[in-house]
Amino acid sequence: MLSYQLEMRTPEWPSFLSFHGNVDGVARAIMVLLIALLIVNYSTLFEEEYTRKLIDLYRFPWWRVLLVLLVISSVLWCPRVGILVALVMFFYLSDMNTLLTPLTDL
Amino acid sequence: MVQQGGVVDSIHMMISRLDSPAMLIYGVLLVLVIVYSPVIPTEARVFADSFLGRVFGVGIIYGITETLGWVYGLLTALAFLLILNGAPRYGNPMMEGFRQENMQPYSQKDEAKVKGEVKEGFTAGGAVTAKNAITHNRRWFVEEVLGECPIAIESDRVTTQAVQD
Repeated sequence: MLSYQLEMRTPEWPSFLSFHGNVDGVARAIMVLLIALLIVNYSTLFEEEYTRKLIDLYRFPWWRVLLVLLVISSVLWCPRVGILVALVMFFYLSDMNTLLTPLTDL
Repeated sequence: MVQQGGVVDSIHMMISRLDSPAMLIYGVLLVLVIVYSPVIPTEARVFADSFLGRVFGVGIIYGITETLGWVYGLLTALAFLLILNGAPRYGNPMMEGFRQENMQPYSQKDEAKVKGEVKEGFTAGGAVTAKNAITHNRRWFVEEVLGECPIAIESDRVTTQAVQD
């Protein structure tokens, strides 16, 4: 009975939000926090500009291939980080599709 | 004595853990669709944006997630959303807006305007006070964003009056 009460008093994080306490777990948590801040920053400010390098690099197909490989590697490392990176990539690619002239010479 | 371990074993381990060739080919196709999404024709985007296309797309994503795993499902969803994102959103198909085919050479667009096939999305309104032809090819940022290719400045004068009680 006592142990049951102790278990009730100390709820655990759901598995979706839990991170292990080692270096890898802390790194994953930091990455999730940083990417979440990035998403909030670009989604709450209407005219938040991308940097000039990101705009220029979008014209090159190899840059977009590297971005997709970043998504895949992030997914293989940590599902939570991968989903957020995929979200950031979607926002970036869709914004660039809208803002820039289509690449007709690819 | 054959040396064990090292790079050779790592390569063998990596190859043994790879997905099947069919899945890898599908993954490469997904990467190509994501990378070259700007050149996907508008007809495919319009179909993807229709009711049937959306149901079809969600069904494919669900099926891929169930069969090939959620990583392939995530990439499929990313590709489908990028296709869907470029679909025209206006009821009038000839209305200027964010459509990519509006980014065409000036001569074709001017010809379409003369024929009355293209309706200007943004007009200055009021009487035309001046006609200044735009000879340079540089466009303002907002013109690039909205897909506008102006050929002349319709009105460039602003009339102001003093504040009166």
